[in-house]
This record gives sequence, C-alpha cells and structure tokens, in this order.
Amino acid sequence: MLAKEQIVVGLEVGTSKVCAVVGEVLEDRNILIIGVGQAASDGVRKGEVIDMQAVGRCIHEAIANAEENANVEVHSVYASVSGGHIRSFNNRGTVIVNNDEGVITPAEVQNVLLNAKAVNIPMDHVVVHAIRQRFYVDGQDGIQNPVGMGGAKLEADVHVIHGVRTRLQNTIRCIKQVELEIENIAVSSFASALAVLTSEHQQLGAVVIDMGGGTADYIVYREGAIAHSGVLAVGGDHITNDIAIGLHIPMNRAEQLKIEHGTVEWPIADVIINLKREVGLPDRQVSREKLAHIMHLRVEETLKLIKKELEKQGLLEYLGAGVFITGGCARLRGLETLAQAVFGLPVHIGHSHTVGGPTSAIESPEYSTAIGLVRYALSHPRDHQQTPTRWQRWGERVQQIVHKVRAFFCF
Amino acid sequence: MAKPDKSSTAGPDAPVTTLPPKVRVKIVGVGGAGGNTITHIAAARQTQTRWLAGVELVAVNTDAAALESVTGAETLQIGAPLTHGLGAGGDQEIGARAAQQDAERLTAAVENADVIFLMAGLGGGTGGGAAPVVARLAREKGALVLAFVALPFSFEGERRRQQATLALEQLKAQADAVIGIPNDKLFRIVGEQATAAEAFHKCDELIGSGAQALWQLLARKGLINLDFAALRMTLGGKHGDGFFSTGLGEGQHKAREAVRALQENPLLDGGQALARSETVLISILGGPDLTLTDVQRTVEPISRLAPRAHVIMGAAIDDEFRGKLAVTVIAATGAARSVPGKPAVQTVVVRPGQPAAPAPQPPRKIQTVDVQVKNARTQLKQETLPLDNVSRGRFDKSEPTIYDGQDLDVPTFLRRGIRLG
Repeated sequence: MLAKEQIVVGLEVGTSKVCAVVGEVLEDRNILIIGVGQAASDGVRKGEVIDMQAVGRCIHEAIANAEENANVEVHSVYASVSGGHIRSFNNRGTVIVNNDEGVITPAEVQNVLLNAKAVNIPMDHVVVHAIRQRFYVDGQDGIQNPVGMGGAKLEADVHVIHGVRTRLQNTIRCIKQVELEIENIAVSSFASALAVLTSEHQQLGAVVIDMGGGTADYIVYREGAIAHSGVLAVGGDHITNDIAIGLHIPMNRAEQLKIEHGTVEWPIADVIINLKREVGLPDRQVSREKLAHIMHLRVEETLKLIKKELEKQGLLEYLGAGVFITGGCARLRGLETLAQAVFGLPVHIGHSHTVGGPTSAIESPEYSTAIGLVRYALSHPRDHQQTPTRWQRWGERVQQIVHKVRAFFCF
Repeated sequence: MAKPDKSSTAGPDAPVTTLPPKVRVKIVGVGGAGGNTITHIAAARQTQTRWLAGVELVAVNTDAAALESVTGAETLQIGAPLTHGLGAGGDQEIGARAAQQDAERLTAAVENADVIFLMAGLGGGTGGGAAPVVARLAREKGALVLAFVALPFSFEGERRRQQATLALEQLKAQADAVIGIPNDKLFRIVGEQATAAEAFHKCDELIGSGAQALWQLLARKGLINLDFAALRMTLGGKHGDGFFSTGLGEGQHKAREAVRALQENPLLDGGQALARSETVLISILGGPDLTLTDVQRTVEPISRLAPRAHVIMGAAIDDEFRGKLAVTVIAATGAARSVPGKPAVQTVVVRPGQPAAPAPQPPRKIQTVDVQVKNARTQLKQETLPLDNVSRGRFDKSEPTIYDGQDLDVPTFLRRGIRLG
C-alpha cells in the first residue's frame, strides 16, 4: 500500500515542542527512523492551539530541521491531536446475518462496524477514531475475526474517540498553512501506545500515560484491544507553573529548576539550591525539599486522577503488563517509584520498542507520539482505493463516509 | 413594634440571643425588574404550594403602569409628585429622591419583618436609586436585609454599567449581604438561542429560587436546623459580594448529581467563586428518605471547594422531594474588594437619625483588620497570593481544567492548602 511512499512523517504539535519524525517503511513492513526534527513550541496551551501564526512558524522550523536531518523532502505528514475536549466511549453494533449460506462475509463485518460507529455524539463533536475491539457471533464472546464463521447475529464493540470539531481543526489548519498535506490524524495517546507497546503488552493489558507539556493522554489496552482512553489537561507546564507560584520565581527559571534539580520523590533530605544571578534578578536560595514537595503533590495528583478514571472503568485488574509512562514528563526523577506507589503495578518509563533506527530519538520518551504516528501510518494509510473487488460495494460506502469525515477536516 | 429591643440589636455584629418564634420574611421588589421577580414568585406560589408560603410580597416602583402589571402582591407607588407616575427614566437620582420622599410609606411596608429579601435590577433608575434607600429603611427597622440584584447586560452600555456599579456599592453599604447576578452569565445558562423573554424569565427564576432556598432554611422544619441567628451572624454586616447556585439531583446518586449540577452553574465560575468565599451557606432539601450520607456527600465536596470559608448548613425535609435532592449554596466573600472601574466619587448615603450606628465606611475597615488577623493565623494561604489572579499563573487566560469541580490549573498545594517546607 505504501509502495510509492516509503517515507512517512509523524508530526506532533505539542505544548512544549513541535516534533517531526521521519520514518522509512522497509519491505518487511518494519520501520526505520531516519531523522528527527524539532522546535520549541510557542502558541500551544494544554495541547491546543492558541496562536496559529506562532504555531505555524514552529511547525515550519521542525519540518525544516527534520528534512535536513533525514535528507528528504517532506510533503505530507501524519498528525496527532490532543486537548481536554477529547472524549471517548465504547459502543456496540449489531447486524443480522442475512445471506443464503448463513456465513459471515467481509460485507457483514463492514456493516456491523458501520453500525457500531453510528453513534450519538454532541453536535459540535466529530469522531476521530472508531477502533474495533472484538466481535460476538450469536453472543459468543471474544472473536477476533468472524469472517467465514456461521451465525445469525454478528455484533461488534468499538471504542469511539471524539472531540470538538473546531478545536481539532485548529491544529490541522496550522499544519496546512505551512503547505503540508495531512495524510491522517490520530489522538496522541493512541499514537504513543503504538510506539511504546508491543503486541504482547497489548494482550496482557497495559495503560500508556503520555505525560506531555500540557496534557496527560492515557489509553488502556485490555486483551489486545483498546478499552478506554482519555485526556487530562494537566502536564509539565502545570508542574512548572506550580513551582513558579510556590517558590516565587519566573516561569523560565522554574522550568530550568524543574529540569536541573526537580524530583517527584518526597520526602527527601533538604538541600539548599543557589539560583544563579540573572540580569535583574537577585541571588536566591530555594529549598530542594520544597521544590520536590510541590512537584510531588502535582504529579501524584495527576496519576491518582488517572487511576481513579481506570478504577471507574473497572480496568485496574486487567493491566497485566503494567503502566507505561512516556512523554516529556517521563524524565522526571523519581517518577517510577511514585507511579508504582500510586498504581501498585509494575511501572515502565517507556520509550519506543517497536521501531528501529540509528538515531537516539527512539530512546527518548518525548518522541513517542511522533514515532507512534509513523507506525500508525502503516495501519492507516490515506489510500483506501485498493479495496478488494468483493468489497467494492461496501468500499464505496466506506469511501463516501471517509470523504464526509475528510470534508469535516477540510482535507 | 413586636420586639422593642430589636433596634438595639440591629448592628451587624450584635449577637442575637433570643430567637423569634417564627421568622417573618418579606420580599420587596424595587423597580421594573424587581416587580417582575415579584410577579414571578407570586405565580410560582400558585403552582407550588410550599414555595415561600406565608411570605409577604411587596412591589415598589415609580412607574404606575409597571406596578399595575404586578399581580399577586401588595404594590406601592413612590415619588408620584416627582415623576407623575411615569417612572424614573433611568435616572438613579430621581429613583433615590422618590424613595426618600416616600420614606414613611416605605418604612411602613418594611417593618414587622425579621428578614427582608430585596429584589432589584441595578441598571435602571428606580431599581438602582431606590433599592439602597429601601435597604437602609429596612435595616433601621431591625430587619436582616439580603439583596438579590441583577446587574445589566454589557450590551446595555457603559452608562448603565456604571450606574449599576455605583448602585451596587451603595447597596452593599446598606444591606447585610448583596447577591449579584450578572445578566451576562445568563447567556451561559439559557443559551444563545433563548429569547429575551426567556432570559429575563430565567433571571427571575434564579432570584426566586435563591430567596426560596434561604427562606426554606429559616422556615422549614429541618433535619438539621439552620436558624435565624446563624444566618444573621454569618451574612449580617459582611457587606461582601455574594453569589448563589442551585442544583437538583434525582435517583440513586442524587447527592452527586445535585453537586455536579450545582458546580456546572455558570454563576459559580467553575468553583472559583467558592474558593474566594468567607461564608458559605448550604441548604439541602430532600424527601423523607434523605439520609445523613446524602447530606455528607453533598456538603463535603462543597466545603472542599471552599477551604477558607465558614460553612453553615441546613437540611430540610419535604414529602414532595422523595427520591430527589436539591442543594442551594449561598456564599459571600468577606471584605469589600475594590471594584474595578469603580467611580472615583463614591456617594455614600449617611443614615440619618442613627448616630450610634457607624457610618458605612468604618465597618469595612474593621472587616479589613479582621482579615489581616486571619491572615496572620493562616499565613500560608494569602500572604502574598491574592488567589484571584496569580494562582493560575501561566493558565490565567486559558479555559480552566475542571475536574470534579476543582480547577486543576491552580497549583495542587494551594488547592489542598498544604504548607510547604
């Protein structure tokens, strides 16, 4: 499917940085990361665009940087979206198998998926993903591929992720304004999970928490399928903001302090940190214990809120592989211990396991989303035209719907 | 007067030791908007039997025609020689003079009451001009005066806004508590598509339900009684900004639903308003099946949102509320805050004939001192952080991240009131 386009680019417009990852799809459908470009982000708050022009400049810079590093020209990207407005739920669709043999064909499968995706969402929302979870044939649970089975009733569970159309469009418009085409979009948590989780992890059950600059995006896999996802609009910016307020220092110093001395481990022995003189700022001494306490409270709270969500969904018992934390905040000192204490589960500070490449990018948790987008490209190419002839009847219908969805996004 | 010792205990901080056997409540609507609210309450009483039962309703206006349209309430036209019954024409000066001319009749209308709910729209002439006078007269007669006032839409223009701000200041100086409802927030309640009539109707409904909730606290036989003295002690003499919000829940999770509905009320500013409050009154109305757990589940999240506040609560039982729970929160910020855009010249109405009573300004000073003392005790919270603007820092202008009624943009340690270091 990707014969013409061996190069795929994942672009994440994040709160703290814009990053573009260039991947090469090898013949065995493995992915090699050949270049990464990034730029400090400006004009994004809590995962959402607040200044189109500024974001446009950052995207341009990141793409130019990636082009240089990978030595390719980038014309189109796969983009991630995030923001506190993104919601999700699970839905079930049903069809009656109504052909002569009483055997389920791909047509029925398409039909039941369409049925499951026909959901009621708020007027101003649009579906970003409708991901199949499992099928039921005549009530029999846990069927992964029902094609060829005999049965009278086929049901399908899907996980539907939707968000406010205009807000999603803001990110898309920013990318389009720098003359880039968008192949497809994915929510950040889904992309990150593709980068971090292997299929074994997905089978065992795992939660991926992508703690970025402005949001904490999480997604839960249970028995190989997505069971739940969500966005909590709290991220590294909040930690910095708390520090700035708590220690009475400006944001940029707070950010620096967080990176250089910050830890979420608390209580700790107190050490006095001397802040170096900066123009217009007097020498200051701050207590590392106080710093750690502020950070500890915020991060613990964020993790607990996510845990509460998972508890509400009854998913905590199904996380055999444990908790995977990725995103920029995964670099916080002491996070593993804290997360273990909060969840009572094995915690992995995650980076991408699922791609290869010579760059150090794959070792860095903050690139997970963009790397995941490259993997997403494999399973969600833009081109839907190679539908097998048997499917054509349905393929046309799917295409119509795809076009409608694209029209929403002004593709 | 029924209670001759009343005037001596009328001061805001005077302790009330004896309770009246039955609290006498009057609702006075001043001006056009006030009259509409009175009409609304009168109409609502027709349908809901227990709604503000036995409460006297009085509508006061300069405009005779507007008074004629008020139904189900006693009416009182003021300033007839001045306006010839044609209304104040948006001039607060005329409204105030009209009220002063008819001070005796107004006094007669407001006496023999323990609590006066004053309803007015502050943008207009009569509402803005006469309401502070009525508040003063009522206080002189020993009543606790709680004003529910509507503030004009911003599209009504700068002049009306300024008038309203001035009137609000004057009213705060006279009434025990002023609960302002910015009409702009109505948009968020009724939606953009609502007709003007619907919007104003909603405003009347809101004000009516606020009065109802307070009255219910005082008059109903309660599971947990909230008495007049407690109300007076907490709201009396605060001269602060007030706001209120209501929520209704049904079914198994009625407490949670009610609290959620309460928090979603735009008048609460997403819980921000509660964080600033010094006094929070929680009124719960439930059916005979109301359990203490329900009460706890309702009160606990609200008091968590208002960490600095003195919380008083009452719970009442109504047979019609079986399986339902209605919660109303009335909160007041304590000290007078400087109002942005406050007119440079502040008109203060001096109360004549009450030399012992302090002029409107001194109580504020006392209040400020009081707050400072408090700050010394809970040094962490307010010493250098006026919660209004600084605490959200970088996220000041962004949409708040509300989760379970908490604004997650505010630092965790501040929200939990944890002392650092």
